[in-house]
Amino acid sequence: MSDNKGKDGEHGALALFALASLNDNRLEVMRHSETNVPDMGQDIFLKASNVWVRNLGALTNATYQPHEQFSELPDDSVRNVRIDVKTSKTIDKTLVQKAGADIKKHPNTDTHILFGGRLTAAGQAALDQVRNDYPTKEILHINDSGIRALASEIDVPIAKLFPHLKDETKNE
Amino acid sequence: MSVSIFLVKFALDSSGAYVDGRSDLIESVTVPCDLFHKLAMGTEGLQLSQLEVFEDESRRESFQVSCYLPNEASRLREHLREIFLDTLRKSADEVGSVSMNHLEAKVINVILGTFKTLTNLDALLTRKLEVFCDDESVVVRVDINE
Repeated sequence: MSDNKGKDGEHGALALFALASLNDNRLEVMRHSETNVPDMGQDIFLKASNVWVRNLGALTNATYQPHEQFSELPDDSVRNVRIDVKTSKTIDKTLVQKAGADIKKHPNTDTHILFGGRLTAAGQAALDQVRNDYPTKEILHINDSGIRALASEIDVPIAKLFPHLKDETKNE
Repeated sequence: MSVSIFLVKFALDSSGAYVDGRSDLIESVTVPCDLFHKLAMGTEGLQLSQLEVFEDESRRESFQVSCYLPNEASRLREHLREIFLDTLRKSADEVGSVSMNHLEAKVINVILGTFKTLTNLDALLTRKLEVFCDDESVVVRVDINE
């Protein structure tokens, strides 16, 4: 890995979703250049099928409940997904509020995923508030266990992309 | 890669403890790493302080966040303004008298992006320094994602 944990985290996520796209005919991974969109250069965007997003939610979160609005749509309808990679160990209220504020910058994105880290209780409450604020968007958090589950599903050794998640007893 | 700078208000309890659930984000600015290093490196001896934030009222668990105390925020703003003026001069030299039609979009995007980041960060620091200077419940938090 490099000396830059932010870069490693973002590129690990980019590689993980790119590898996932090899197993799915509809999944496409995109990233804007930082020059063209300075505020959004860190985000990863996906074009995904409705069923892929639903399966991702179920795979990475045991208590996942599909969003009502998207449950009514056909499995192959297109979802526009933004991945907000978090490299902090702890996702607290401030970080969730920032992520929530970023949602309005992406009016055409229907699904927002906070990727990585452990939500504090106040972070979870803030995430619930963000969901209430944006009832037409699906907003997910994939924690470290969820990242392991996704890597396992597509048969990627977790240590290759996210060495800090190698030890399953450490859910940071 | 980027550095996020937040202005956060905590409702401090009677003992002055910082509790996650009693915080609210006022505003934030995302600064590209290279620009942040230019800002921080050029400010001699600029130091980040560590603030302990408790996860909840029980205070059993806590985490650390990096922040700038008012003196450091003031020095950072001073250096930011020097960089702003320097960027202004260099941008003027780069653009010269060329009209928009003859200017590469990338050039104007970079200039606009840099100015936007600098002015937004200046506004955040100014709010802390001029509105909440002696208010310890309002914190300039820094998250360096690298």
